[in-house]
Amino acid sequence: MITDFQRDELKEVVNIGAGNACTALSKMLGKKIGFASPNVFVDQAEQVWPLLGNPADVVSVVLLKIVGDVSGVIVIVLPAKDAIVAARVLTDNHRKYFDFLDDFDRSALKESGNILSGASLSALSKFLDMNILQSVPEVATDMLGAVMGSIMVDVNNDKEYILVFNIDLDIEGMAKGKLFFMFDPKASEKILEATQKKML
Amino acid sequence: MKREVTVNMGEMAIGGGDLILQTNGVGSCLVITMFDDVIKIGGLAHAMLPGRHVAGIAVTKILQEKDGIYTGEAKYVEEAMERLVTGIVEQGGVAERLHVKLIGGARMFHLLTASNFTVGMQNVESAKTKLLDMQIPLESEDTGGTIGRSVGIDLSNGLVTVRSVM
Repeated sequence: MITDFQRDELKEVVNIGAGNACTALSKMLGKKIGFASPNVFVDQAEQVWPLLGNPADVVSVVLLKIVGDVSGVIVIVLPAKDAIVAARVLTDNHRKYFDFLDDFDRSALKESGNILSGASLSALSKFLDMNILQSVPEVATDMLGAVMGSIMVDVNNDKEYILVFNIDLDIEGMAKGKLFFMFDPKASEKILEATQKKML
Repeated sequence: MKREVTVNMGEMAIGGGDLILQTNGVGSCLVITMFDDVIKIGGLAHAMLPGRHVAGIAVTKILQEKDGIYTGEAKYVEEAMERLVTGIVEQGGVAERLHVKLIGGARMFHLLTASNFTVGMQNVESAKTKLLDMQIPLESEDTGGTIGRSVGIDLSNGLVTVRSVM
């Protein structure tokens, strides 16, 4: 289990990382990118579901795999409409009509996913003295249940406890999304142990 | 008036009459529907993984009855199929008469599979192997691809509806 102290410690590290990432992205684009203070918890994997919404809702998901000393996934969940708005903002209105995501929009979403998660991960990696890397991003738009189901199967959708960071994102006040870092059970244990050692 | 019941991921339901069993967002998961057209009783299971790899996690729930609907856990394809057949047979169905359909088993992300044998494909494979074991024919399937599906089965006539958003 996670202690309050461990939670605060991890929260702070990710907070700094995410803060840097949002500032970088926001400077690069000249747009306001806001984020809420991260929510860190250790719980059964299936408890993540209520945070996501209705399985039938259509969402766009940016997925990155965490590889290296620990493994897990990074997921950015945007409601389909918000994903289109986000793509429009990110690409500075490159098209006249925005009603679906084209390759360019997907690429923009992927890249923002890369930037957002990269800074947080490198902060975490430095703090824990671990080698934590991320894979290339992938975007999918489909029913929430379908995309997240496949991801959760990969992480572990069971009674086992996993470490989750959840950050709410806000792009120019127009698009809202959720950023999740989920570590598989073994990796979660490893990270919590390393955090414990740090505090001694 | 038809009653619609939503079956969540990793769960199953068996019933009959005016019931419609509905499940949303089927990606790499596999939905198995079974229907006995003589006694008009059928079921739907939304399973996530092919089989149990880790021993020792006890199956806590067996089928529970509420308002004529039998529900239970169905995380694994193999177990879900066994439970569906037993559940329907217990209510007077005949295994040889079952109309079995498989839906799902898609590949949502290329990142998540190291090999070409995806979780979705493994789910479909294990379902087919299980059917062979139980000597029940497969009536039809809508599996594979890269899109999510929503599935419903009308238990008054056994009609299965598959929808996708993409």
